Amino acid sequence: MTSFLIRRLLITVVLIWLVTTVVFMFVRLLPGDPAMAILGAGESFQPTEAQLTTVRQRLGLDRSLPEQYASYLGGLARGDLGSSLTSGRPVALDLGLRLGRTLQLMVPALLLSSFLGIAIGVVAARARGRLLDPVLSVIGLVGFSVPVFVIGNVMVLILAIQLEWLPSSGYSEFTQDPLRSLRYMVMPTIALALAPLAVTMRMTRTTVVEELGLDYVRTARAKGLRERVLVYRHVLKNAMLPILAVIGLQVGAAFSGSVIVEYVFNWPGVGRLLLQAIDSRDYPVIQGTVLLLSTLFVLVNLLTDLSYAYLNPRLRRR
Amino acid sequence: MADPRFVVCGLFLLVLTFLALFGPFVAPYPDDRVNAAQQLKPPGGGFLLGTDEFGRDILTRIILGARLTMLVSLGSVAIAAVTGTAIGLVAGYFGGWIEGALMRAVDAMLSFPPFVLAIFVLTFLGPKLENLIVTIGILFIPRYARVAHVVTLAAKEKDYVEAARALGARTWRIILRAILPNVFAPLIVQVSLGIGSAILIESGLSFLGLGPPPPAASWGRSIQQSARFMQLNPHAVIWPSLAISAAVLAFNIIGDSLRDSLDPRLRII
Repeated sequence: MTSFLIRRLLITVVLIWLVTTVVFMFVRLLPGDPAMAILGAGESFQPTEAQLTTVRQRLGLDRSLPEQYASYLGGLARGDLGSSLTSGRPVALDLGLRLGRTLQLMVPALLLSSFLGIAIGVVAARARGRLLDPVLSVIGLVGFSVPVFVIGNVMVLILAIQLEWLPSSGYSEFTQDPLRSLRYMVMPTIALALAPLAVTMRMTRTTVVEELGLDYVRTARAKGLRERVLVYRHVLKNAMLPILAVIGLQVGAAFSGSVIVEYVFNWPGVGRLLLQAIDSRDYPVIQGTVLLLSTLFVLVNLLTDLSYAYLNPRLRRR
Repeated sequence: MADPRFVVCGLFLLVLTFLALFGPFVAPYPDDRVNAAQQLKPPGGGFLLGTDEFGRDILTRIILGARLTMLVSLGSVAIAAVTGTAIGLVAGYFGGWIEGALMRAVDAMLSFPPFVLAIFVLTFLGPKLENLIVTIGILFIPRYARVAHVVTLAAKEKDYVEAARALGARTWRIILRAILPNVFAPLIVQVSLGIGSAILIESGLSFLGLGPPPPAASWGRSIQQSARFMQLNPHAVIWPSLAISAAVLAFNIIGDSLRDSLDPRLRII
């Protein structure tokens, strides 16, 4: 286990280095002037010489590439992601604030999708051969085929515009007014939860159906074990590994989903910050957000792998 | 092949392909018909699905948007499937350091969040159609490389591959004639599911304003722009939403039913 752990941690370090390097190099290795790319020069927009000079100086683009890279890595090591070109505030400070709000949606959404996904998946697996199973299958397919912004808009249309039950978009600090804050959270959380719920449910159904066909299930039934105990204590436990792997993938995917959800509901998290920074071509903020989201993605993969290995001893020896 | 899911979705996709090819000839109005007098009209009065905030016919916008969706999703999946399969075949057949290097590279690509990376790349490359296709295409390479790799590892142990080798067939002939055909069944499942995911990513990027700029008609962008007027005319949001969802659903259902009929053992992951 220890050697597996060390190897996996080393790979993670290499992957994070790779992510930071790709993000750094991308703009600088594009053909043409990186300052032009950063300002979004194109047929419709030509930046002035003054704008270009400002960007070059602020980002140190006038220095040599190794010099820039060294100071970039040095900054990262100190937790310094530079400062915003528009507000002048340190990027790391804003990211810390925004990450909390993004997790405020992601954590409840993923808890909801995991528990409901497993529960409904087990129901579907046990309903095999009855009408309920194909009905749930279709609902599952629809759940991960409909784009998250469509789900968001439909909810706004029904719950906010038609019924006027919930505010259509916005954010309120939880500590100031918890109830008001929760009302803002409902729709974005559900929108974010739906796709992972569908995927988790499908995976649970497949693995539980497979498991139910095994010999030990027949033996357990023959000796009179109650179906409830059999399914929840034995079958589900054995089916848990692939379900866990899929949930890990969903956590990673939820970072992407949150960018769109935060846009739809005007939720001031990391994703909204990324899109605002793109609108104002605020390079340090764009870079910092992408670095943060990619690093979290790598770390989630690490955690998934580790918990997988913890639960499945056969994998540890590899 | 009598699977009703397959038939219904196949017919829908035929219609979609027809619209992508001949949309401008069958659309009720020319696309650039901006009409201030006809803004946000509900369905009826010459506009089957109503009009958007520029007074454009919603049905026309949807018909013309099919081309972008199909171009981006088919184009990117074609790039990914060809490149990924080639990588998987070569890695699986040659083994050794070639396999190590290629498959580690594929693993590394999977360690980036694809949608966030696409946003980052397109911000600086510019939201051109070609850029969108190539970016999504590259992001999708790993899934095809992995499928081809696994299949190749199993196939190269087979007797007929050994026989071809003993007969003195050249390496490339063995790979293309003896091993590649094994890849087709799982590949076609992944192609169908991949097109569904590509449409989701394309529409998501267009919805965030990172897709091809106007005047190109795009379902995702239509939704983004009309969402502000949802209270006045929800039709401008609902119909393109239905178009995207139906297209993704059709490709996913076909992928699912292909998987069921080709190899029931293949799993979701």
